[in-house]
Amino acid sequence: MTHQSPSQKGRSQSGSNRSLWITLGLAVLLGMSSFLYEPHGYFEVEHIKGFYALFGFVALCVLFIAAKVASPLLTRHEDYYAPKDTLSEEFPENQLGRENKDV
Amino acid sequence: MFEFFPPAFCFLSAALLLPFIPQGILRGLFSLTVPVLAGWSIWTATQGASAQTDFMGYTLTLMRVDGLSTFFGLAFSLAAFVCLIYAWHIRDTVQQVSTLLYAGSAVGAVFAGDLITLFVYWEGTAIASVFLIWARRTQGAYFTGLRYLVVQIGSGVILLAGIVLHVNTTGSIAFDSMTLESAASWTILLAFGIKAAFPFVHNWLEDSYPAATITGTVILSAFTTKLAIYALARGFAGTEELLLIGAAMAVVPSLYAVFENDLRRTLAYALNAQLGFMVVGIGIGTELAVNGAAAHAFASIFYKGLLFMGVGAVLYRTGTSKVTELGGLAKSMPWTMAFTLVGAASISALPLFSGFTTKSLILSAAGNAQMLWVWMALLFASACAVYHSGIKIIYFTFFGEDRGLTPKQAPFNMKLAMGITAVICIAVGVLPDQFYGLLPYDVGYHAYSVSHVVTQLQLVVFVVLAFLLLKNTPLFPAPRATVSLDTDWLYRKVIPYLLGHIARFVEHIWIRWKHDANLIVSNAINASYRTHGPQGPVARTWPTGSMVLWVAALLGITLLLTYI
Repeated sequence: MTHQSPSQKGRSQSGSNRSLWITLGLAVLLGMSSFLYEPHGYFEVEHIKGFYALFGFVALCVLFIAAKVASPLLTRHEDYYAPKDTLSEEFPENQLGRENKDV
Repeated sequence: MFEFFPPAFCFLSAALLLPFIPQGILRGLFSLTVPVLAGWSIWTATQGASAQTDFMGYTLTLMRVDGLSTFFGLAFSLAAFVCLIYAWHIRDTVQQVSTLLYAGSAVGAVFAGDLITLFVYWEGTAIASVFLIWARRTQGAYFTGLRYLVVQIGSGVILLAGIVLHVNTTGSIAFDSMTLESAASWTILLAFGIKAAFPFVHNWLEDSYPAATITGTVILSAFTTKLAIYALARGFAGTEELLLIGAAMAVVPSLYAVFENDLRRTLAYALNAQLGFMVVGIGIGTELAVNGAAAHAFASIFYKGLLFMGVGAVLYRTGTSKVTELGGLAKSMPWTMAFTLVGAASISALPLFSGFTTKSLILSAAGNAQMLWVWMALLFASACAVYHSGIKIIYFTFFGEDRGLTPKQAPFNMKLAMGITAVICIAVGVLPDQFYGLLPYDVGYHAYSVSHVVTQLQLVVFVVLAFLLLKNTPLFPAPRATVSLDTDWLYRKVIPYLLGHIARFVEHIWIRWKHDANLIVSNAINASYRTHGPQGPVARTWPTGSMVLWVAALLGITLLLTYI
């Protein structure tokens, strides 16, 4: 594993911030657009303004919390099933085409 | 006998000829012509045509050409074509032959008009496909292949039991719509359910697909489970029990897909979740819903295949597909990233991509039937898919932490296969009316309305927003170098552990019993020895003089008694 230099870290941090701002802008625009048209859905809940936006946001929060709670119970070290499992093995080198980019 | 040559025979006969063709361009081109010929023969087949033959007093229908079988047959032929391009560089005859046999069995099964033919091809897919796992040629792959084979053959044996019961009850071998009123139909449903990865019998999928070779995983992802979806659509459309099963399938694997470290295993869980959508569609059973299941199966073959291809290309160049070892490949593998992004956008159901036009058919069918909870479960699973198959795959592979990997671009054949698959994903999203025209039923449906586009965009963008806000917080479940415990834990750990204890207990009893039995037998032998042995009273030698004395005494007594 390689460590990032401070400049690399700074670059990825600024890239990450930029994605966040762009997504936030899009989210605000899409959220506001709920008021511009009459939604037609199959259920009452779909007529709540911004239902899908809220649903998406809450769904991911719920998923993350569930995964956070469940993962200590449902995960073990990679060697847990070794040697009868492929997860603890290296992928066979003769089936790879490991080549690096020409610099 | 045959109105036309069954397309499955194209694959099967080509698989027999293939080893005699020299490796290289010639063999590659030969392989590629097979799905083209099969696809062409399916495309030009007359609806309602059939091919029949007699076998042991039954009339087998090897070909039944109707809307449903044609659609799946075309999907499988097209999938075989792109898979063979992706595997162009492979020089392993075992994998090449098993790919053709596997695809041929799948095509044969969807055209099977009777249950016996279905069973033969059903087992064919199981046996042919295991070689794609064993072709990895490692100890782990060997054991994984054995587990896979046991489950797949088990599904076939259960199917055979169901067929015997069905024929016994109805006297017919025809494969048509069934109702869950008899043990026969329940048994057949179970056999289909194992292959479709129903909850509790699903784990063979997540166990085996990531254990196959790089190209093997892509090929495996296309056929087995979609064949089961076809079989369910044919046999059990409108079965209410499938609603709950499908909803559970869509939701639970999504959770595993979040914390799974291996990206191919993540995609296997995501595939399982997508199958849940199709099972729900079949459970609803209306023409719109079955169309949705078929359309989503088609879309899923290609967007899931594309994601497996993208991760496979990364694995091919870097030797790993684990989140904890990948990151920052956007600059090194831009084409792979672009194509994988199309797959991610498709599974996320972004407008103009395939998931948008296919998933909505099932959601609308659930809406039409006013099934609020089923609809909510599917919507939840859709939001989850945006994360685990969209954001997670792309972010952790091509962005995220830079691990200093600078691999070369994927080989040309891989990029070509990904490119064609990406075009298919976009075509289904951009030309929905033409695509809907291929579906089994003729239903007027319009995917693109302002409301649908905006609401779907809201769902996707707010999931992305939630990810960006949460990814640096303690709430974020970052994948770690772990293995997930699923139902396979029962038969890989718990049952062997319990069996070990039972074996030790039985052994202990056996040793005690043997000891006691030994004691009894040896006591008996000793007692006999004491009586009958060389020193025993019975075997003792008596002197001749004492015998003469006793004879004289007896004679004397006799004499005395005579005169008294």
